[in-house]
This record gives sequence, structure tokens and C-alpha cells, in this order.
Amino acid sequence: MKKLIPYFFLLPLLLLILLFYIIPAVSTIYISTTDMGRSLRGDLVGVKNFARMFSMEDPVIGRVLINTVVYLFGALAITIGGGLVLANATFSLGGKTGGFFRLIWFLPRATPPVVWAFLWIWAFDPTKFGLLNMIFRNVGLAERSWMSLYPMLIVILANGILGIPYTMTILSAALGNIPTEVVEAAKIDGASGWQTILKIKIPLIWWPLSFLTIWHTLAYLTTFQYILMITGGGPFYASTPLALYTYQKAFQNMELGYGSALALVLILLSVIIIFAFRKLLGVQRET
Amino acid sequence: MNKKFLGVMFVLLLAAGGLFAAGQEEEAAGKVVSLKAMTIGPGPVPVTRAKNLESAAEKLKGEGVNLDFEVTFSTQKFEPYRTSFSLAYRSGSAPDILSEDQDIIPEYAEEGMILPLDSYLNTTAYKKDYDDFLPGLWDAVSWKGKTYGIPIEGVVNCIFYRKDVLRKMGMSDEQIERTFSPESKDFTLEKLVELAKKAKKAGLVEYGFTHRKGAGDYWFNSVMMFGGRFVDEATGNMIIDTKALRKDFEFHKMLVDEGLLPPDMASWDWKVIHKYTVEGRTLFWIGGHSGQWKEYQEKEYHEKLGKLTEEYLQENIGIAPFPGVGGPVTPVKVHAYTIVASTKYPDISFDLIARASSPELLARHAITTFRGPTRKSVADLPDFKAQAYLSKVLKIMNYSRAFPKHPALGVYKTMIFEAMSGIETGRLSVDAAVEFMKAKAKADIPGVIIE
Repeated sequence: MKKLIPYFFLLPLLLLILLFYIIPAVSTIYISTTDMGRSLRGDLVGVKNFARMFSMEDPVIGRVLINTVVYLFGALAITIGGGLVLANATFSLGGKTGGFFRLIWFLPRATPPVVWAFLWIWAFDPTKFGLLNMIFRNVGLAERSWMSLYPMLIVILANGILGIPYTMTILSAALGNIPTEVVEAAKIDGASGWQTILKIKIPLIWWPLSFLTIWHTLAYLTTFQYILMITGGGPFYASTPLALYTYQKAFQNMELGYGSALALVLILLSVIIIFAFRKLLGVQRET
Repeated sequence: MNKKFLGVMFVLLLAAGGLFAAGQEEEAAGKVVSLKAMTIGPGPVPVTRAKNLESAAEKLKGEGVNLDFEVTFSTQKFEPYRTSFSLAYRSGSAPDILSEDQDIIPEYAEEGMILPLDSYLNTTAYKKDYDDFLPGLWDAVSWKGKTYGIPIEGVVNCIFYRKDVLRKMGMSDEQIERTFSPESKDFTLEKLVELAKKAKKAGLVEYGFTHRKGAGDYWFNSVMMFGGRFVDEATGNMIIDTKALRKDFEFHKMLVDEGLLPPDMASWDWKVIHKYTVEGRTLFWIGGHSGQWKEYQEKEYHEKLGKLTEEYLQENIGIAPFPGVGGPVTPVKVHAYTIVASTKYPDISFDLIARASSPELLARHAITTFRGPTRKSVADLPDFKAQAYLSKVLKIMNYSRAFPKHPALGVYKTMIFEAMSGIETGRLSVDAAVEFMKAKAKADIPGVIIE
């Protein structure tokens, strides 16, 4: 009887997962084999939706997949790289000073998503009322159509920077757990600052670093709200990753059948990338 | 024996039929009839779409119908509104009455989600009202020979031009009036481009033209301007008119190349777009509709003046149809009351929407929203006559062309917008854009005809 108690506590969560994940997932598989549209009624079409995607009959899909990869690795580089640099810098400052800077860097995370998106829209507004264009004008430089010229870079920055506070906090805690004598010993042995980071600190925080990489990979593959608000995925699909395209097809064009097929491919892609990262980063061995 | 049995069955059937009919009558006469309606803005301005139904319900109650009426008004965009309706319909909790734009009618009609109203509209009692509606509007709410709604407004798409800028260019009020009169020979696309170039060269405006952002109705207007076709009448299939599309793409590219249109309108903020119109930073705002006259009086887009007065607007801004290749074009999109197929009370629902579309209530709606009225007799009502702007709207409605109707129009609109944003930002050539349209249409629109 005692053995059953943990299951009793797990039951509510399992029910929630069944209701809000398993059932919708099975429904999505079914819908992806239909031509369901706005009326929420569809006829079975077999693998037609998948064929439309894989045969590149949809002329946008290739571009969308490339965007997904560029966006994922761009945002990951900023989040993980930026988080690591800031964690190390604030940890080195130590005490209240380090804490103060960590607090400042936490502000983007504490900003409501709509406000965060609005700040980016305002900063890169292509008209003379945009923040960057105001600055450029005042220093005698020509105004630029930022959103048209660099849409992907803007969404990578907006999302990548937002991931930094979380990464920084976790990595700061991990750095704090490294025994000081290990770092001191390296210094006594003549290791430079860079060598200490690369050869001592990073290997010792490898597990949280890998976890954060995988965590953010999932987040960047599946979320798109900031892209939708900032560039809308444009111009001409220049900043549309697969998650946003899935949303647009399913809920803006109401092509629920094709949208579900895209969603399944997105899930499959996420699983493959996660397993690849686990293998590449050696997470399995550590756990 | 068999004959006896059949006779008894026949009598029983008659009795049951009589009881059923009596029940229905009793329902309408005595029992409380509960009706629900869903209406939409989007935005707060067209709230009279809901209020007129409430007024009509009061009228029906006054006529002795025991009615319990509830109407919701959504300020959301169309997509969430339509999703809510589909979910409600499939879960058996749909309203009895739905207000919708004409573009969705074919889709709902094909799915049997809304009722054809011909049996009500073709009665002698309704004939006088039926004939009072402006020509072409019944067609806008019809699909495959059946009529599915009562038109309550025409969203009149038009060009807004700045009179003050034109005056600074040396044109008298009379010249301006003549140039923008649809009857004038001068009213051509070439003339608008010429004026825009002059205004820009003189430093009076930052741009000659601005259009909307996102996938909206403007993309149909501009195809219509170049004589484009959308639907094949014989088959009901969508047409991709590549000839008109190419002209449309080339026109926008030329405007960008000449510096008359911003290359990045797709990423402009809506407030900035309207600011450019109300502050005269652009000569022609070509992405709007007549109802924005009201919006400019209610929202503070102008940095110094804030909300604009009717006098300021009359003095400085004019409206005109689009100068199409075959003559002026005023694209009109009809909004209508429809009856949902699952309603238990189709007769009373029709009585309600018929009363909600009386000339008096439609006049109230037009005055509140500054959108086009759908009935001829509205123009004779004193309240309507007092509105100088609405008379101008009616005048350009003489050049009305109904919006296309097809279930895939939303998809098509998005495709044109994406291609155009590619052209305007220099990411796509006109040829590549036309090829994209062909390939995407083949992939996304079943049965599409490429012309």
C-alpha cells in the first residue's frame, strides 16, 4: 500500500498530461490526415498533407526550414554565450556588486512580453519615429529600414537576449558550487584567466550548460510570439521559422489539416535535435 | 386488416402533425423564445451592429413576441471570432444569428452552417424591402444561387487625398474637385502619380502614397484597379489573374523606385501609418475605407491637434474611388446578418434581422460608423441627409464593385501581401513574385485556375 502513495500524488499531474497533451497529440495526428478547415469538419486525405510538405509543393517550406535552423542557432549562441559571459563576469565581481548587475540583467525577463516586443518594434521602427533612426539622424547618419534589412537578426537578438537572464542565474549558481581550491590550484599552476575558464570552470559546469542548451533549443523551436509581434515573420517569410508558419497555416489561414502535419514535423524535428544534442553534449553519460 | 392498420396509422400521423404544428405556434405565441446573436466590430466603432439587433428585439417584443434576446459584440479580429463561432457550432451552442463579412459566406454556406434566406426574401411581404437595397448587394451575400444574409453595411474602400497639400501646389478648390471627380477625364492613375511626384519634389510630403500593413482588403482593391478577376463564375473556382497581378506588382515597384511609397510599409506601426495621413505627410492614403473618417475623429493620431474635427477633415481631406484601368472602382465589402442553421427559430430570427435592417436603423448605423448604407431610402432620411461626408460616400458608391467571394480568399490575400512585401523591400523581382503566386496558389488553393 505504501508503494502506491507516490502514484497517488502523481495521478493529478498524469491526468492533466493526458487531458492537455496526450489527447491533443493524438487528435493532431488524426487531423493531420484530414483536410479540416475552419468548419472543423474534414475528410480523410491520407498522407497528402505530408506529401505537400516533403515534395516541396509548398514553395515556402524550404525557406522556412532554413530560417528555423538560422534562428535556432543564432538565438542559442546569444543566450548560452551571453549567459556564460555574464555569469562569469558577475560571479568574478562577487558579493553585492555581482548581485546588482545580475539584477539589472534580469530586467528583460521581468518585462511583460508585449512591452518587450513593443520596445523592439519602437527601436527598429523604419520611419523617422524609430529610436535607432532618431539616434542616427542626430549623429548625421542616414536613417535605415531596419525591419526590412535585418528582420532575422532583430528577432534573434530579441529572443536571444531574453534567454540570457535565466542562463546567467543558473550558471552563476553552478560557478558558485565549484570548489575554490580547484580554481586556486589552477592559478598556482600558472593557468591564465582564459585557461581557467576553458579548462576548469566550463568542464565543471558542463551538466547545467548542457541542460540550458537543450532547454532553450526546445523553447526556440516551439515558441514564436515575439517574432509574430515584432516582424510578423516577414518581409516575404524572411523571419518565419517552422513554429510561426505552423501557427499561420493552422490558425490564420485555418488550414487545420496541413497545420497539424506541420506541427507533427516540428515535434519530430525537436525530438531529433534534442537526442542529437544529448549525444553531442554527453548529457546521458553525466546523468 | 392491412387497410385498417394503414388507415389508423394515417390518422395518427395527421394527429401528430397537427400537434407538432400547434406546438410550434404555441412556441412562438406563448412560450419564451430565446435567441442569441454574435456580432463583431472589429474594434469598438460598429457597435450598432449589435445595438440595432437589440432595438429590433424590443420592437418584436412590442409586437407581442415573448422574446428573450441576448447579443454579444466582439471587438476582436475576425479570426478568433470565426474560431469561436466554429467551436460553438460544432459543440451545439451556436447563436441563432451571426453578423459576418461577405467573404466568409461561401465557406459557411458550403458547410451548411448558415441558412439560405430565399424563402423569406422572395415573399410578397418582403418584396418592397428587398427592392430597396442597393443593386449588387444581394449578390454579395449569395452563393451558388442562394442568398444567405441581409446586407447591413458596405465597407467602402477608397482613396483619401490631402486637399491642403494640393492647394500648396497651386490648385484651386475647384480644380481639386474637378481632378478627383470620378466623372473627370483627369481622374487617372497616371494623374495621381504625377501629382505625387510634384508634391514630393516640392518637399510638401514625405511620400506620395501609403498603403496598409498586413494581409487586408487593400490587396484586392489594387488587383481590381488593374481589372483583375478572382472567381470563375462557371466553376466557382478561384482564378489567379497573373496579368492583373503583374501590373499591380509593377505599379507598386515603380512607386517604391520613384521614392513615392515607403519600401517597408509592412513593418510600419498602424499609429504611424494613420499619423502620416492625418498630418499630411503623405498625399494619398490608399489603404483605407470610409469608416476611418470616424476613427480620425475619435483617436489622437495627429501629434498637435489630437482628435480631428469634422470641419478640419472636410477642409483638408477628400475621398475618391480608385482610378481603375476600365474607369473608377469603389471596392465595397458587405457586412450582413445571417441565420445560423442550427437555430430552433428561423422564422423569428428572420423577423428580427429584417427589423434590424430597417432604413432608420441602417441610417443610425451609417451615421455611427461612417460606412456605406445598404438601402436606397436611407439617403432620404433627414438625419442621414445632414451628414455631408456620408453623401460623398454615397456618391462614390455609384462606382461600387462588390468584393470577390470564395472560401480561399483569405489565403489568397495573404499570398498577395507576402509577394508585395517581397517586391517592395527588394527581396523579390516582379517575375519571381508572379512565379511565387502561381506555385503557392497551386499548393494552397484546391482547383485554382491560373490565367
